[in-house]
Amino acid sequence: MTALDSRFLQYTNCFGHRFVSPGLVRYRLSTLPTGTGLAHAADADVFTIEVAAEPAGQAAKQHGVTVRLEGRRLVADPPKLRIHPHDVVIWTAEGAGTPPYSVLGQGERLAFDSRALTAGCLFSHPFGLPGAVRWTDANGSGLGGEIVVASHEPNVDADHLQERLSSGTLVTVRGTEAQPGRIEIFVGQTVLWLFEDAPGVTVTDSRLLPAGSGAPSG
Amino acid sequence: MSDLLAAIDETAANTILHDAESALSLPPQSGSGSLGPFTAAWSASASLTGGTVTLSAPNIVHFTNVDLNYSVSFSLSIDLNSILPDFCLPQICIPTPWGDICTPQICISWPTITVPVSHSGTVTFSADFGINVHLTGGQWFVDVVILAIPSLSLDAEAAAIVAALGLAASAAMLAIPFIGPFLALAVAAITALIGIAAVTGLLGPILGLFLDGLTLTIYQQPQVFEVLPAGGPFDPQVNVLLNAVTADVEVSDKNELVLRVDV
Repeated sequence: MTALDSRFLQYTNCFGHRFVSPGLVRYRLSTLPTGTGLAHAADADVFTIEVAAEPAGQAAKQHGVTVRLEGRRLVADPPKLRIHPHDVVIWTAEGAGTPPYSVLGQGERLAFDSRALTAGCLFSHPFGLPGAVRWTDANGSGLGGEIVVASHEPNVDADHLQERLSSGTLVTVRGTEAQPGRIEIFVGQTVLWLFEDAPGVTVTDSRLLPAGSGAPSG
Repeated sequence: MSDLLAAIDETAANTILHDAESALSLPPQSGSGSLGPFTAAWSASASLTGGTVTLSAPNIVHFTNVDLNYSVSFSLSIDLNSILPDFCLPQICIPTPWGDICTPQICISWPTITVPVSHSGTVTFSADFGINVHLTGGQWFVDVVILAIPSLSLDAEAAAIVAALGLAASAAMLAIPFIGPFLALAVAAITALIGIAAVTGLLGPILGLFLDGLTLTIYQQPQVFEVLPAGGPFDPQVNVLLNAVTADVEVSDKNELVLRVDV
């Protein structure tokens, strides 16, 4: 339920994308670890985000999409979104029973894939177990960092716990650099990765990768 | 008047009964039962050691301070949703260069865990045994058979098992994401819900299975008893047939277990 791996979005994860350019974006949801995107998707499995040409008269908004299992298909709810430039769309699974998935989108001026995070992407993960987690890019860019997750004090009271869990930590990725590279949080706290620029990377617990992988590919 | 007569005093009876304990193989037992609100599968094995024998007329063997050495394994299935409060990660909003990004509230469903516990211990008991002589498969057996399952003092054993359950539950829960702040609460709830009384209520009947009908064979003899071996081709061995065997306790200057045989 809580493995840190942006290639397989789970119930506790969020994947997001910031849409800058106007136009129609088509996307699908996949449970497969690999695939070629939209080319062979049936119409019923394609969902859309229409980014209006005119900017909103107010600050950028966030829109939520719930991913749920309908029969054997993953569907997006709502299936169609109309947003404004600079708005952010966040995808989350409906429940723990939703299988791990990925989001693959294609527009006239952009393409995104939650399995290979690029500029405009977001990924969040709450950490459920104490310990040090070294995260890396499974695609081999050399991007990585460390998150030290501490246990709560045994006598932490409910209010204090709730207050703690309500705060998150931002990690900003520019190219193959993550800032901050090392963070310390408590169990249950969430880390949000924001990709200002990235060459198609992942956020993956290095323990999930074969020894020696995740290093710069050259 | 019997044809053959054998007698042992209490000293010899102790030796024979301890030999019988060593030879005794109690079959392992398994089953399932309730531990408080939880269901537990269990398996158990046991053996007997020690004890002191005294004899009373007409046919009672008192066995005091016998050690029932047992090993019991429990496997508990615990749905943590039934004991832990609902828990949700709150919505969080993180300021970013793209504005505040908010994640939704995420509610956690606690899993069902399996808690395995093994415990070995010794319970000392005293019980009266009756004498049972029977002919089975061409063999005479002299058995002593427990007359009633004794009351066992299990509170100390149960307390140890409850403590072990708490430790095992804690270990089983350590790997559950987000349970950290609730771990102590969960362990306390599990041990409180089970409690010493529930463990005693399950352990007593389990150990009772080993004591119910407990039989120790103290002597056995083929019904056909060779008196003289064969002396040659025309001198076959001489056998006698043991027609009847009885055993009881007789009181003289000392108490003796007396075996009478009719040939």
